[in-house]
Amino acid sequence: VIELTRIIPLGATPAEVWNALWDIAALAGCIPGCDGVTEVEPKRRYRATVRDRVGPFKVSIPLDISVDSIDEGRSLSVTASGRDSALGSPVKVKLTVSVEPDAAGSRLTIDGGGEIGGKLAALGQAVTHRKTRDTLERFAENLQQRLGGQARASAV
Amino acid sequence: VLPPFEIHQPKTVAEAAAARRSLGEAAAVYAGGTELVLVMKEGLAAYDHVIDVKPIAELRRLARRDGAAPVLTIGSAVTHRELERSALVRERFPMLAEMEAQVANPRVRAVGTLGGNLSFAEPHSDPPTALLAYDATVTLHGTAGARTLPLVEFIRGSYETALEPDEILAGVTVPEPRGPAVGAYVKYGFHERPTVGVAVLLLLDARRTTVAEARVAVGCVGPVPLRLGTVEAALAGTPLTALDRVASVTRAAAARLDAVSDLHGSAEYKRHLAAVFVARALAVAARRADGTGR
Repeated sequence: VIELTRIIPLGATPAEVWNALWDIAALAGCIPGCDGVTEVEPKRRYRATVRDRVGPFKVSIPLDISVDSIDEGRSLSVTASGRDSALGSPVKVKLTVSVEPDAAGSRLTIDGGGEIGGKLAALGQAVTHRKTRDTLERFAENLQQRLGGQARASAV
Repeated sequence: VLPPFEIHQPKTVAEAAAARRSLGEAAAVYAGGTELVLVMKEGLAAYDHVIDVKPIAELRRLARRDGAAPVLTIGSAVTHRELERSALVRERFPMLAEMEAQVANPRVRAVGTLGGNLSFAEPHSDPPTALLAYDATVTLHGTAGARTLPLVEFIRGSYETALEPDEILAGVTVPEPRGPAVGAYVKYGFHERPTVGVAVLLLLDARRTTVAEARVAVGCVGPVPLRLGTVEAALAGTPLTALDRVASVTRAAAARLDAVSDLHGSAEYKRHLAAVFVARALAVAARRADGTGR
């Protein structure tokens, strides 16, 4: 089980951030290793593939992403699940993303967790935790580049 | 069962580097296979080509280079067993031999090589910690030539090294400590791979009673082995009979270690172990200096 929690301060208004979250192609561009995003059902179901590598180990995971709930303009919950294409290791991530106004513009809060099973988990939490943390950090940086905000996201 | 692959046996390091460059990610370097064959069998990585570097004569050399600053040069295809049993290593680099004698098990030591171990960069591994205490450097050979890096810059993270796609780890150079020195390598773990490994190397004054310079390295607790600079500084000038004076500095340094939680235990547990095993390694080294310990 991996915890995924981050607050990302952004320079844009909450409405601008909310709209940016639904610009799926641009959002995917902020997620390291994410490509092939397709919309299955607008605002409900998507597909995407995430790829990453750790030394000699390459991972490619096609994900089904479902939007579980939307509180318009404020927050949304998503579940992404899939199996790594080489090993069949299951991966599941549940996230709640919320947007609130603050002094500099807005604050995006990502809160949730992920589970990795099978041989992928056997690579060691040490590796999977670091990779997850680095990916989240890079996502925060990319999003801040697009929407403005402080250089570093702060941990909760 | 291993999936089929083509095996290449270059005769020189230059040929091996050229093979890496032409085959790219479809190839892996085989230098003993104690890690590579495991990951291939498990399906964690797949390669159509395997470049066997063990028959390359220059990678099999183990020698001392004399001069103003003598060094041990270890070809990357030298096995753990050869290092463990080498009279040269045991006499002049006893802590290195002590570490090698504790790597995995006799079957792994018989075929596993130092270069293979370092290139795989599995964080729960003994050699990088001991080599870090010796201030070792590594030489990488690529198609454009060779370069030398401190070990600390070679190991970038778990399973990640500074090797470029066309490079081969050719060898390791270990500076010989000048003057009297004692060392110890201690490890602990309940799985086959170590949970913590600690290497200490104490360079002594001429009377062999006081630490002139200390090197303290902790491995396995995080993605890369680390030196404890504050402990090393506190040890300098300390009499061998009073090494426990650095206990609080050691605990503070261990508490700041970049440790990670995994199947071996929590980060907090590993930091605790690191402090305990640094103290034990120092005690062993001190006993060796006064002749009461092995």
